[in-house]
Amino acid sequence: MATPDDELIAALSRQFVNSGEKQRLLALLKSKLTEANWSDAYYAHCRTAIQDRKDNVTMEELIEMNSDHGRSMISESIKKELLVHIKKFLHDALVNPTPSNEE
Amino acid sequence: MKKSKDASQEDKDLNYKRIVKEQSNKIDDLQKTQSTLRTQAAKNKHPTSSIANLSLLLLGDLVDDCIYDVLFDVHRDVKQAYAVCQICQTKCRIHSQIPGHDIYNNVYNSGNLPSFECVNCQKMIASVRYASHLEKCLGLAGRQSSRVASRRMGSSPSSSDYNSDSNDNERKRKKLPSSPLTSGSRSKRSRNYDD
Repeated sequence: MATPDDELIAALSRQFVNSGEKQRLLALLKSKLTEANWSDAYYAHCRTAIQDRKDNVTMEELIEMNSDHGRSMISESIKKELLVHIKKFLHDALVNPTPSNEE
Repeated sequence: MKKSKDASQEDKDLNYKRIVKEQSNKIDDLQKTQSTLRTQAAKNKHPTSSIANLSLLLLGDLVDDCIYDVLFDVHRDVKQAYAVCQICQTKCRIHSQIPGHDIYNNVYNSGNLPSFECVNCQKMIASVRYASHLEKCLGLAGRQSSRVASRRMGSSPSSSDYNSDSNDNERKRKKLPSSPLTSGSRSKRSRNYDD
């Protein structure tokens, strides 16, 4: 991968976090998911998936077993809405490049 | 019999055909997107830095955050459920969190509600209807029930004030405020003040 790409990606993610946009979009996404009942349904699915294990389930195992299913459970409309917000942010960030951490 | 069988078979066939059609449409859409992505990738010099890719990366981060939140909760609840509680030294945190069940895994439909005996009339009433039944039974709910209840108990209604709770909006107060009850209480009150 070319380094200017990585720098660009890193700078954009930094600006994403620093401007508070990531926090805002994260809160938005969480509220949409709870509204659509995704959180409860995913929680119930994970509990039933590890019922036979009884104990000593590690976080890594949980992540490995369930994260794909969780991603697929999110409805397309929620993903599209979030993508619209993110693209708007990226467009603004690329059109008006702010001097972030180079001062 | 045969005609109905044929009809249901036809329905199943129609359903099957509809499903097959939907799935093949999906496959067509996915193939189209795949081909456009391939041509786009061939055009772009820096395929990793297109806006679409970057936005998908950021979205993936946000979604991962939400997923890890839920998984943390699952992990913590499971660990606490199987560990000995530090306060009471027993395993007191095992409860079910299935939507639609209560924490002991009971399901209550209208079919199997627990019922209790009414203290007044000794009938078995379902728990959700207990309060309203008791109101009517004791004559505290409205005009009709106080009449019915007083007839049952065979005495004049001792609490005419209770009627006005529910019937305020229905009728204007034709009773004078100086009924025997209120004047009696007024005199009691004035006696207390004098002392």
